[in-house]
Amino acid sequence: MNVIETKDVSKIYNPDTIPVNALNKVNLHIEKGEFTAIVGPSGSGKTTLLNVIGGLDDASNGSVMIDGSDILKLSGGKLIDFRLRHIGFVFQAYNLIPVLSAKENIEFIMLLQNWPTKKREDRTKEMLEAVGLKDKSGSRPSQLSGGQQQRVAVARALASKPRFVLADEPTANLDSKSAENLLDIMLKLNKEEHITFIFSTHDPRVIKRARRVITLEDGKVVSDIQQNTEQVLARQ
Amino acid sequence: MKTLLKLAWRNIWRNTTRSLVVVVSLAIGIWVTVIILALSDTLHRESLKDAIEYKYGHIQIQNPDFVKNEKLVLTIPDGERMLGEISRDKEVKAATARTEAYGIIASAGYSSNIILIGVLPGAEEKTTLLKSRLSSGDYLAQEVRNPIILGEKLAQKLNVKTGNKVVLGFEGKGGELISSTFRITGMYKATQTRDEEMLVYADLADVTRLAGIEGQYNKIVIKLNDLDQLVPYLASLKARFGQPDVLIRDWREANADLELLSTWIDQMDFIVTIIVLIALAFGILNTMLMSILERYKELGILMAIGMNKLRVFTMIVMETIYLSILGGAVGMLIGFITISILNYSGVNLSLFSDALSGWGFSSDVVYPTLEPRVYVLITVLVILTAVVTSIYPAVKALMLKPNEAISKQN
Repeated sequence: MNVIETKDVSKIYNPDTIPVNALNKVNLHIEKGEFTAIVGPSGSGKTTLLNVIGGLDDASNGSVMIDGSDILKLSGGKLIDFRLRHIGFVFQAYNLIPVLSAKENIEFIMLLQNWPTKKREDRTKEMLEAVGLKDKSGSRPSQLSGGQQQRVAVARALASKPRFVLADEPTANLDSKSAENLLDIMLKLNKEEHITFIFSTHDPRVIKRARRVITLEDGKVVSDIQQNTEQVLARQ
Repeated sequence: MKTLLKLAWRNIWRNTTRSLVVVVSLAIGIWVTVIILALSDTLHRESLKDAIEYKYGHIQIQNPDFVKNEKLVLTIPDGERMLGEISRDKEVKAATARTEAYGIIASAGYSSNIILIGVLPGAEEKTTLLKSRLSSGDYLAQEVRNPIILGEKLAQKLNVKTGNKVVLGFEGKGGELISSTFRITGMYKATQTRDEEMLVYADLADVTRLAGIEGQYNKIVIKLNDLDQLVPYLASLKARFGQPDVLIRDWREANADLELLSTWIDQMDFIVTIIVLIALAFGILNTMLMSILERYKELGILMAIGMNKLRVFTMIVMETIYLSILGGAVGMLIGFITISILNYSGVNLSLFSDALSGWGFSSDVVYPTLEPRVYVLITVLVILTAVVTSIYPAVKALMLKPNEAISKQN
């Protein structure tokens, strides 16, 4: 079942001065439960594609269908609400809310979604355990290592059970051990919660664990490879 | 909402020094405003009280022509009967009558222009505090022929003392100059220098006898038991006695100077308050804009993960309100404490006594107070200012594009 379908998505920056084709008629079908890496050199359009799919940026042409609705046609308020209800974001620089503790960061989106207190607290506890930070629940981001912060960010993104998670270079700032640990957690959650993950990445560690690898060059999809599950599992 | 309030509260303490600077600035601004308002309000009330207690009473009745052309002969028709009736009204604490005429006073060596006020000594004593102002001698002593009391400053000018005789000249009934000898039985001090130099009090019976208008008055002055009765009683007086040739006014209408002073003080209070609020607004605006600029990326993240514009707007407005409430509360508290201390100890304004007496402020020491409603009003104004000021930074925050904000390098 398709979660995301992009149809001829193009994005041109500076159309009136020096046009730059960041995306050029990108067509993709991403299904529920996928663990997909979007790779490519810098400037190939990875982040732009993620931003367009996540409704953070608009496209110059094309459509992004999510459950049959074109999110590019949603108005500002509806788009924000759509992001809140359906998309989890993980950013390269963690981007946690510095004045909130790990626990509060994780439950923040559920609070915005008005989850009942008990349900929210149970889910927060579950996510803290899932990312191995139960003992750090009261720590502020500044008291956590980069790897721990990114684990909180993943927990935040997944806590409200979004339809899919968009992660922009989630391991870029992490050391090897933290990156492997984070990937383990994300794969586990992908498997247990059937949440679709889409990464933009340069990181070979992410690429080798992804079940699907989409390569972009100059805004175009130049390859789209399904990796053998056995191969992926063997690498894990 | 609770989350937003928590987030806003924590946000203001991200940069403790900056927030404290804003809070302290707000507190000092409000503290100064509260003290200035308390002083001006107290001086204002004292001057009004003085004017009402010593000169004007609460209500005055006059011949309307006398107001335009202050001639002794322009008396209130049937004034004696009117005074008798009014004196029996239950709302009236006391009422008296006066005659007033421009004239000249002369001693052996000097002369001066004056306003001669003929008063009913007994009734005047009950209605105003003229007698209490006597600094030497006796109040219009009945055993003396043609007694007068005059201000100390006028006495100095004329080089006369209590017991001396002076000659008073004023216009009589037919327009002729009346001239007679009066004896100074006492001297008084007034709150306003001009009064002390100009106003000479004599027995109304002597003045009206000399002018040939016995039993007639230019002015009836009424003092009420309760100022709250002013409006209804004024209306009842107008209904009973209001005729084309009888003008009935409250102290405010009857005394343009007092009205002008009240308006001037109100305007000064307003200007001081506005200046302080504008300064506060710029302080808050600067702080909030810096805060928004510093958190540009974070606000982008919040909007990216689903915090809608209303929530972002509310969060920023709440941050501003928190700062203003903190600063306002501290300012009010220290203001209240300062005013309480000053109310106990008094503020010595003797350095400015000459300037202040020109405006009718009688005392060198002022004991400031401020009505609770002024505290409430200032609190509301400070919060309103904060809310209005926060709109611009909040709108600026709403205009950011999440993807641009997120990609911004810190």
